[in-house]
Amino acid sequence: MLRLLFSATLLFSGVAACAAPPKLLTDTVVLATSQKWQTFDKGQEMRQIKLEAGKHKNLTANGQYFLILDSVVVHTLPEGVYELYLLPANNRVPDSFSPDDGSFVDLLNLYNLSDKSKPPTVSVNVSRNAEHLISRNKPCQDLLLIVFFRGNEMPDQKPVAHTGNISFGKIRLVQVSGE
Amino acid sequence: MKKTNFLFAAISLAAALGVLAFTIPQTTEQKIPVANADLTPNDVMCATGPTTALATAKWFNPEDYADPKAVMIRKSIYSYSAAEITSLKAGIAAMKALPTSNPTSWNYQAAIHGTTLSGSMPSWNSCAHGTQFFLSWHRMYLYFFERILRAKSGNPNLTLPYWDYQTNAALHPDYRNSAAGNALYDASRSASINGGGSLPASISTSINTSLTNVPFNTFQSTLEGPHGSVHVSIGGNMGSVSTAGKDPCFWLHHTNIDRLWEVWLKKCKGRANPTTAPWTTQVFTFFDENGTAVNMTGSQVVNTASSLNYRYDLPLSIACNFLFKDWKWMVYRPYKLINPLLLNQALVKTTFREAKLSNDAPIVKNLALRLTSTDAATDKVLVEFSGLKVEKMPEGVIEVYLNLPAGTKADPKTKFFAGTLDLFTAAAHQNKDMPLRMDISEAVNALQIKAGNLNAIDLTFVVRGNKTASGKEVRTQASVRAEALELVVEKLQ
Repeated sequence: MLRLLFSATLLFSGVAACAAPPKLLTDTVVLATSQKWQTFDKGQEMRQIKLEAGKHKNLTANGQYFLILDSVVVHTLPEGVYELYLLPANNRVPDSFSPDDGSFVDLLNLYNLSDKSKPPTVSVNVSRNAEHLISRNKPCQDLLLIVFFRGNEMPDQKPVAHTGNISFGKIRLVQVSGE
Repeated sequence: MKKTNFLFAAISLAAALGVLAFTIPQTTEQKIPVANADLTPNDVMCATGPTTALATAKWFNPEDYADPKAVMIRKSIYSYSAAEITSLKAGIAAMKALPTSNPTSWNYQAAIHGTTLSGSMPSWNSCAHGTQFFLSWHRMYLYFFERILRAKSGNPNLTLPYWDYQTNAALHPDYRNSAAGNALYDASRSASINGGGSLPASISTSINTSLTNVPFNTFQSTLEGPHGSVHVSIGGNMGSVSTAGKDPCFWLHHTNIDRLWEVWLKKCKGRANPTTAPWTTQVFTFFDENGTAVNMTGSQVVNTASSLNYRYDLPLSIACNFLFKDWKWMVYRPYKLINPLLLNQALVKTTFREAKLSNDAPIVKNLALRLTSTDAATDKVLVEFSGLKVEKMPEGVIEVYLNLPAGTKADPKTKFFAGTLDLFTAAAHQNKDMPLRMDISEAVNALQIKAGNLNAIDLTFVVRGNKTASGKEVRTQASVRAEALELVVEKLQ
């Protein structure tokens, strides 16, 4: 079966530095992809990004799952964090989000992007969420990635407004499965 | 050459020449070899990390740096005395007064992590982010920085404090005081943090998730995420790898990350440090308090107490490989306060004298509790708060005291002090059916309360504001509600 596979170029572009000889062979399969260049600008509370499923429409229990955010550019750092949520695209988007939700993935780590010697790519392990989706027996057709800004809280508990500005290229959900 | 090997050779060459663009050609059938399926892409990207070893440096020998004193304890910044804070400031000020060319200077030490300064000195820009050395490199870095800071401060007992933002998400007031000459202050931080604001609670959630991950590389890479979010949320110098080390709160933050590594190990269940090269053998160079270059490897930092002469103020625990054999604990729940507890005043008292008795009560009355032991396996007395609702976080903490006599000042240094409520965790889990447990064994033992008198325990809750640089306590309020309190006794069988 022909697989749309992620090239080594992105995921393992620094492999030249790897000293240990590879022991396992791994297929990296693109499960879903965003379509457009995305920008998340100041004033916005959240950004919804649709990840359209490819051939592999169903998540399986094998391997690990990662979100790969390519060409991430931080124009202005936020005064807080970006929380990532992943849910089926046909679900109603909640009015509010909480890291206690099952759809919570993790925080978007922008810090390492300040090291310009590293590629502007962020990977986030979403295996736990994939398991969650599977356990609820929801077919993984298109997915919705929510980038939600959570500002620092002032002493009066009011959150800081979003003044950050980031952009990213394509976002891919990939499955990495060892053989 | 096989197709895959050829591809890697090509990628290697391209990467070495710095010509790789970050585009993603969509290829057909292609297998990508990785060394370890547990690694995240970030781990794989920098599997060997930076190489900063100096050939002229001496090799680290724990005996050369042994301290005749007992193992030193790294504590929370919120438990530092005014004198200790003064030592911190003195040490940093002394380092800042040195020229950048001096390896023990503030600027040189910060530049080891990263710098925008032109020129290159030994070990500069050598931080290990996104690599398997993230935790071990920073442990080495902290160790030598601590030695320098201690020497410059003139306080031989000074250790690096940590900021446990899962307990108190606001930066310590002494680091926020903009008074002229305050060596702990950095004006570049975000206004919210320097204004006494808190880091978002999702950072705590993300840390807790990372602590559940096994093996080491998965834990490490998932801890690095919230670590980075702390950097970004603080902002200013902290927000960039090349300037982060210039902010004094960098050292608070990374000491906490180092502590979380120990917390993770203490959770056992398969958690262990790597035992293979290159993690154990990769050499990094740092500078000691005399400005001497020292080479160190990962294998030399796995045991902080014996090799580096420090440990954290974590509760004693049994080694993971300790066999319990036939041991088991019997759990008793003798007393339950079913009236809601509302902590919305500066001082609130409650007592188990008014508790509802369960069938366990007469059994507990006759127990002989053993709350201290050299082998760390002891009985436990806990208070369990259920139905917690944190409506207002204090700008500080809520201290809990046992049997505090009327008219006695609530002081954490007294034997009546049982600990502080973990409000951060409570807030994060308040909508779940998860009670918050507080271990009061130490105070029960200090007060020599027998099992037969546990029903007479009084609890005093004191809202304690953070202190400003002048030592004045911030006036603050809290609003926390617990639907029920239950006394729990865990008796070793």
